[in-house]
Formats: sequence, structure tokens, C-alpha cells
Amino acid sequence: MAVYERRYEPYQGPRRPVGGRAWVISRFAWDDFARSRLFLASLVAGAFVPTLGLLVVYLHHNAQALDVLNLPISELIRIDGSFFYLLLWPQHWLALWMALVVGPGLITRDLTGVALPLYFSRPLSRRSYLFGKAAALMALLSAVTWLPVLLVWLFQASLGGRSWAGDSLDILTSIMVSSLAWILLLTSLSLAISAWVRWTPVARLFILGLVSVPSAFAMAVYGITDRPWGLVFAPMLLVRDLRFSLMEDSLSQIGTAMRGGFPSLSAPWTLAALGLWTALGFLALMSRVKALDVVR
Amino acid sequence: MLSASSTAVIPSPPARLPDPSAIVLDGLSVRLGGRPILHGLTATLRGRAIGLLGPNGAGKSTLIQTLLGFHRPASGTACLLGEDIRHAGPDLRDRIGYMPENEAFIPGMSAVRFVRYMGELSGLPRAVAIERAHATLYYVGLGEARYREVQTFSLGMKQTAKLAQALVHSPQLIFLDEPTNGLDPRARGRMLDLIGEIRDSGSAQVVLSSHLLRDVEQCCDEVLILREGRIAAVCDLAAERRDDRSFLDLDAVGAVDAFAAALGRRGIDIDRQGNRLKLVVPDRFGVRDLYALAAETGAHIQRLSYRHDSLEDIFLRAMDADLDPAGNASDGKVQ
Repeated sequence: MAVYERRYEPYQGPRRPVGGRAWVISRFAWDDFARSRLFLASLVAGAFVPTLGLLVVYLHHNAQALDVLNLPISELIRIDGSFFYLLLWPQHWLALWMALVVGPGLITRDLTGVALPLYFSRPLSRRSYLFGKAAALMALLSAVTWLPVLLVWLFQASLGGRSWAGDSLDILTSIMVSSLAWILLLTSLSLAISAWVRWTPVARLFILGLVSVPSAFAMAVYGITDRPWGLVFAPMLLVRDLRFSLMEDSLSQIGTAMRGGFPSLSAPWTLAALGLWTALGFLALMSRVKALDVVR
Repeated sequence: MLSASSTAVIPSPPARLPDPSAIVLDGLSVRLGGRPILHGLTATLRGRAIGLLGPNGAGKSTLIQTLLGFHRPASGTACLLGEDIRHAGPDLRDRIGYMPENEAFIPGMSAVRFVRYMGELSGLPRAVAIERAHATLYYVGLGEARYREVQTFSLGMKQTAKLAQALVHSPQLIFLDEPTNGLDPRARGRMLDLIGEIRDSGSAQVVLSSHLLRDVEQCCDEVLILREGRIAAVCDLAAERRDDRSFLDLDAVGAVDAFAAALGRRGIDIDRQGNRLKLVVPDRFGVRDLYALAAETGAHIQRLSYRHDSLEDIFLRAMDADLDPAGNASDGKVQ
């Protein structure tokens, strides 16, 4: 119907398949992210470390450039687990920052505006709604965590040859598994908190507190019991452990020194604990996201 | 399950006229928070504009929300556009529009983006959703304000934006829950005109829930009156309006008994209270005939007035009527 006609006319054309509607939610969420200058600045900042990593790898394999620059990079920096750990570590912090910037607004806005009945009166289930929101955040966090670091790994593999790639599969596993676990955890917690805490600054504090404060508790448990089980309550330390433990064989002295003497859980226990945190987050989220609240 | 081919489009079924039975309730009961809210509702509604009428707390919104799938029926079922709500696929919801009673918008989103978003969620391809969002906002009278954020709108504009999102995807059945709530007379008139236009376009059936009799009387041709979660009356207003009977109220003196008997012999229904007679006369029986009959029988008509059963009469009768144990008015109909 033409705008100027100002009359109601039915639409008889094709419609999108119901299965793809969740992506509409993701797309609109991305559009909303892109309106934030803080978000765009953070995204640009997120490219800094991986770009530096690419440069180091390039110089590492370019003797001519090293001669010209007169830099002993290949002696100073080894392209091993510690190198990738150093790349991944700031990216994971950045992911936390990004989750704090964009996460709290994702569901809060729909709850504040009481818009959920509008979503659920359409062919959209609670799961598709949450999938759409989570996919938007996960895509964003992927763009600042495993994707750029994977790019550096692939670049190094292309220059270092098959033998390096074959020997460094544990690094790849660590990049992927620890990043995905971190992304899932941040997504579930930030969406859950955004669903329960409607005031964005408070929601941000909650996310930050939930991720970081339990680390102190874990240390206290370790101090008292001399056992690492307190880590179960400290998701941030769990992800840190996962990063280390999955690339343990490829760590140089620097990496081992960064890890410190603090004991850790085995990788399966760490994954199980992170899975539990993530599941709890999604459960809290599901209990909040419904078309209507029934007052008992 | 989510499909990867989100950008593909599927052809719509050919444009259909709205189903003659927009809503069929079959013993529908709903409990919320352990309390029974709707009690075994049974009715068939097929009007172009159906009014859900009842005092606050009668269960109007709960009925709409149950039909939309927000609440699970405790027993019984209902059909919308011929599809059982318990087994209906998601495509049924593409054919339904919903304007909730309370404020519903997305903070920080302009009206046009909001309506476009809702259009895309209802399956409109992106370009179509953009075009229809603009056109729908112009249609409802928000064209000039379409780039403003919805939360900055006045209450009337917010109501209108809610109507726009309910219309943008061209549903066949539109639920409007208290659409004139909080509107000033001018905005209310505009809203009712819009509802009338949609009804008259013939492309969608409208279900209007309201506690305002005048709104329902102005827009609807069929009314379901709810009271305490039960059906108090189902009334075909269009048939009432088409009815070829006249209701007369008269005061007579003289031989009133003979006059009443003569009327009875001519098949005219009478309700007599002393000298006051209430008559239901067929159209073929004019006022002149009535005066002639009165003169013939020795009665003298002192006062005579025409009256029609207004929705208010029907509503008040329904509120006073006893409800049967199954939860419906004793005959289910008010004539």
C-alpha cells in the first residue's frame, strides 16, 4: 500500500519461514549495538592486540624485514602457547567489557516496555526469542575473542608449515574451547541479569560482581582448605584455568610463570563447573522471560 | 527448530476471506495461579467485529490471552479461524494481530522501526516490512511522528502505535484489548473510526474487548458479554438492528383490558403493568392501526413511544440474569 493513500490494504505476498524469525531479533539487536559509540570504540580497540599479533607473526617469518628493522624478534618472542595465551587473555577481558556494555540492555528494554506479549503473540517461542538475543551477543563476543586469535593462529600455521600446525593443535583447542565457554557463560549471565535487574548500571555491577567477586571466595576457600574446589564458584578463574590447562604442553616459562602456583581443577571438572554456571544463567533467564506474569 | 535459510521467502497461501466463525469456544476453562478465571465458555462468534464486553475482572483479557496461547486451558478448547488453539501451528499467529491493553513498546526505538520490527517478526520480507511500516503509520495517523521514539508519545499516540503494530502484517483476525483506554474524546473517536474502517474493509475480523458499552455498540455487530468468567449473553447486534420488530411503550385509559385482549388476538406480545403496555409489534402493524384498534375497543392512548433494546439494556439484563451452573446465561442468548 502506498504511503500517500492512507488506507488499509491487506498484504498477500510471500512471508519468511517461521524458523528464521529469530535472526530478525539478532539483526535488530546488532543494529542497536551499532548505535552505541562506546560499543564501536570497544570493537575497534578489540582489533589492536590481534593486529599486533599478526604483525609479530609476520616479522617472525620475514628475515628481510627483521634485518632492515634490526630487531631480534625471533629471539625475544617465541610463537608458542604463551604467545597465544597473551593474545587471548586481553581479548577475554574485552569480551567481559563488551558484555557489560551491551548485555544489560538486551532484554531489559523489552521488559521495561512490556513488549514481550507483542513478541509472543507472533509465531515466536520463548526459545527462539532467547536464541535471537543470545545469538546477537555471542556473535559479538566471538568477533572479539576466538575469531581474531584464530586468524593469528591460521596466519602462523600458514607461515610455520604443517608441522607447526600439527604440533599446536592444543593451542587451537584452548583458543576455541576457552573462548566458547567464556562466551556462553557471559551470554547466559548477562542475559539473565538483564532480565532480572531492570536498571542498566546496577545490572552491569551485578554482572561484574558475579564474574569477579567469587574469585576472592575461591582464594579464601583455598587458603582455608588447601584444595581448589572453591574455584567452582569463580567462573573467571575457571576460564583462566581452562585456557592454561588445554595448552599446557605448549606453554613456555613465561606462560607457566603467569599461571602461578595456584592449583587448578582438571579440564573436565572445569568444563562441568562452567556448564553448571551457564545452565543456571539460562534457567534464571527462562523463568523470567514469559508473555505475561500471573499474579497469584 | 531454526532454519539456516532465514532469508528465503515462502509463498503465502492465497488471500482468504476471514473465516465465518472467527472464534469457537468449546467448554473453555482457564485457571491462573490456582484460581478459576474462565468457566466452561461455549459460544460461536462469527461477526466482522466482535465485542467482548464485561465489567473489570470479568475475564475479557484472560480470554484473549488464552486464545493467543499465553495461558493453557484447564479444560475445553477454542478454535480461531477454524484452527484448534491447542494444536495450531505457528502460521496461525501470522494471521492474528494483537493490541494489548497495557503499554507495549520497545524503549529507544522509533515508531517506524518498532512497527517494521514487528512486521518482520510476523514474516514480512525486509523491504515489504519497511514499506508497510511507513504506510501503516500514515494510515493510523502517526505519519508525521514516525521517526520519534515511541516512549516520547502521548498516551493516545502510544495506543495508535500499538494498533499499527497489530495491523502491519495484515492479519485476518485482530484482537484489540481496551483500545480506547485513557484516550481523550477526539482520540477515542479517531480510534473507533479506524476500527470501523478495518471492519468495513472486509479483510480482517476484529475482536474488541472493552468495558465501554458505547465503543462496542459503535463498532461491533456481535457481542459476547462476560460476567465473573462466565458467558452472561451472546448477542447478534446486527440482527437486532435488522430486526423488523418495533418496541412500543404506551399508556392507555378506558377499556384497557379489551384493548389488550384485541392486541393479543392479533399476535402482538404484550407486557402489561396496570395501564402501561409494552408491545412488540411487527413492522406491518403501524401506529395508525394501533390507534384504530384502541378506538374500536373503547380505549384511549394517552402516550406512546418507540424504543429499541440498546446494548445497555442487553448488558444490564445480562448482569442481572442468573447464570447456570455450567457458567453460561440460562439460554446463552439475549434477544
